[in-house]
Amino acid sequence: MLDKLNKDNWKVQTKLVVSKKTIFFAQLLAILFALFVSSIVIKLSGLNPLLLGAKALNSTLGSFFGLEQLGILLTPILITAVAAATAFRMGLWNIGIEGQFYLGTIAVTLVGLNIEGPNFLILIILVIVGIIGGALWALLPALAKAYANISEIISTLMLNFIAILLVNYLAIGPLRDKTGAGVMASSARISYSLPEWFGALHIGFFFALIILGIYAIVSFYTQFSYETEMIGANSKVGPYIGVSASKRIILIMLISGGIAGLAGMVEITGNIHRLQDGISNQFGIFGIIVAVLSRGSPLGILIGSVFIALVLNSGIVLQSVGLSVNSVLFLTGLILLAVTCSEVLVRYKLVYVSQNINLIKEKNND
Amino acid sequence: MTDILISILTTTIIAGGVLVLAALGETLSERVGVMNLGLEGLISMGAVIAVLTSFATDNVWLSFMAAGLVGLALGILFAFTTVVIRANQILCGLSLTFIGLGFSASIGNSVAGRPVTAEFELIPIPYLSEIPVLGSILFSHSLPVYLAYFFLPLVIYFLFFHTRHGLNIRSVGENPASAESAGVSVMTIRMIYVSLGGLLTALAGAYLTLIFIPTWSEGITGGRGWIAIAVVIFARCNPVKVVFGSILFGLVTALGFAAQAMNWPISPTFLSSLPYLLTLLVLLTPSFNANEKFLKNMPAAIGRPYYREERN
Repeated sequence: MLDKLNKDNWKVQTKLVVSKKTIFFAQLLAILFALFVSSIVIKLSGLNPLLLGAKALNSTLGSFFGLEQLGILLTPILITAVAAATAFRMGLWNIGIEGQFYLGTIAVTLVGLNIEGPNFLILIILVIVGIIGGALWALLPALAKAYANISEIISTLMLNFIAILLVNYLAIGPLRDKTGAGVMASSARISYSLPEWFGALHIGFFFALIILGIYAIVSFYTQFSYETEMIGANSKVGPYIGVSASKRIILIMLISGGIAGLAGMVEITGNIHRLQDGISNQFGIFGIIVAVLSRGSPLGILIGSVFIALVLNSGIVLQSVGLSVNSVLFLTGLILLAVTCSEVLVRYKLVYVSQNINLIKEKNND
Repeated sequence: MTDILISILTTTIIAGGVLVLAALGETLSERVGVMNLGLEGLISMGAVIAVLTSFATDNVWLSFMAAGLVGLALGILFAFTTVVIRANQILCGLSLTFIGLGFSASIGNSVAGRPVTAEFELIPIPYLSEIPVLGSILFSHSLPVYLAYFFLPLVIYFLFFHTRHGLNIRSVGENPASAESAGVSVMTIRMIYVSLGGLLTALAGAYLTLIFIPTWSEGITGGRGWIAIAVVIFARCNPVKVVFGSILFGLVTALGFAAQAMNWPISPTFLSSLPYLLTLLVLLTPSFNANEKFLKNMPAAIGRPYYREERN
């Protein structure tokens, strides 16, 4: 029995196949772990984590206003999560969702302020414009990745910052609303907006659900999705199945960027109505987190987005007890870290190897 | 005119120091094959810890070291997740960024905007500081500036390229399997240098709030962590080139300040975006020129967790 206590008799092995159920429970455990750690931190800072959590849940789910806010947060996160998941399907790290989102809002503002027509028609045009704006912002990293194998991580990341500054420049400079109607420096109000249906929650919410639905159908039932996954896993597969890997990289990046741009369109025409600094509220980053947590599963994206929207909404409660809104970033980071680790940890198993070693020793002695 | 130039270049050196420290931290990590995207969070944590400690103790060196210790702790956490558990480095790095930004925002809320009074003593280097122009730009700073620009880069350069241990370090980043066959413990070396990288990066944060911008506010890091990653790519993981890269990027920051102060007819937004544009340019140009040598200088195993079983 003492053998079992000797650590040399144990070996860590890697499992090749892990069931979806196991992964799901591992993730759940990881999220609980992250919540546990953050409640210890809250406790240490002299607040009551349970009370705070209850207050956050109550303020979100317990009132009309809370649900309305939840829906408003949920909408862009759902769309950006689909955008991120689309790229991840091919193993592309499109960290630039945020930037593409911003470009979507810029394109929509530029066109929306200079066009006249019936609301419905213009909104359709703006959808297209937003998609094109986002896709164009993904074009350069896509080309660089496809033809020179330059890491899309850094290039899309850098474009995020440039996009944020571009919005800042436009909102403060050329597009600034001189009438001073906005709370902060922003463009004039775009006169075309998505109709509201649940309090302030606009029909963009259905856009999000439709896009998620399309994503689900494409990923479950099409050859396109299967090919994309194959090439993503191994680009050498391309020639054998008659698909150019580089063209597919560009296409997927453009689709991903286009969806992100659409998220921007929905947010500006549904919620903010003006181009202003920080219009995205880091939705691009949260979309990436959801895409990672859900591992690209459509149902997972839905659950993950609701979860993240809930966490974000709690930030408002945190503010009421004197913490910064950004404190929720800590919880999000912790959850991401725990889940990322859990996905690898679940593949390890401890194996008792003492007998094998003894057998080998015996053989050697013979 | 010379006065303006001297002031711009002095700001360049001071601003660049943040990048040097953070980029050296990233260099340590990338040299052993681990990409750390958590710099932004580490810098933020270092910055807030330094400010809080300085208010509590009024001792500037203690603040500097406290930031370093917290950075080391976070570095160990990051190293544990990426090297021992072998979780995805990109996601762990992003989480570290969030954790750092979120945690620093919560603990720093009470001191936000309060000016830091403790400051490092200026130590002009004898004789050298009397050189006209150059003397006041390069040799009239406080100790951490010299540490960032002269001491650390040279020590790390010597360690990497002129010692046997440095050869081991680099081999772990190039080809961990071969390194292990040669008797080098990949996991130990990765753990040590990724953790030390965290320490250096948090020092960059302390440098930021103790020397460059003596106050804490949310978002004070302003993307410097990402720029530092860009500097490392620019410098191809070479600690000496990191210094020059940082000066170049620091110059952009200083020009931005000068432009605002003197109402130059350049949009400050354009100047702020220059570091990112420059990074993109650096990233894109050499590869389209198919400059193989340039690409080869980067450690080959970056981003890939090492599994002993997968050796072949």
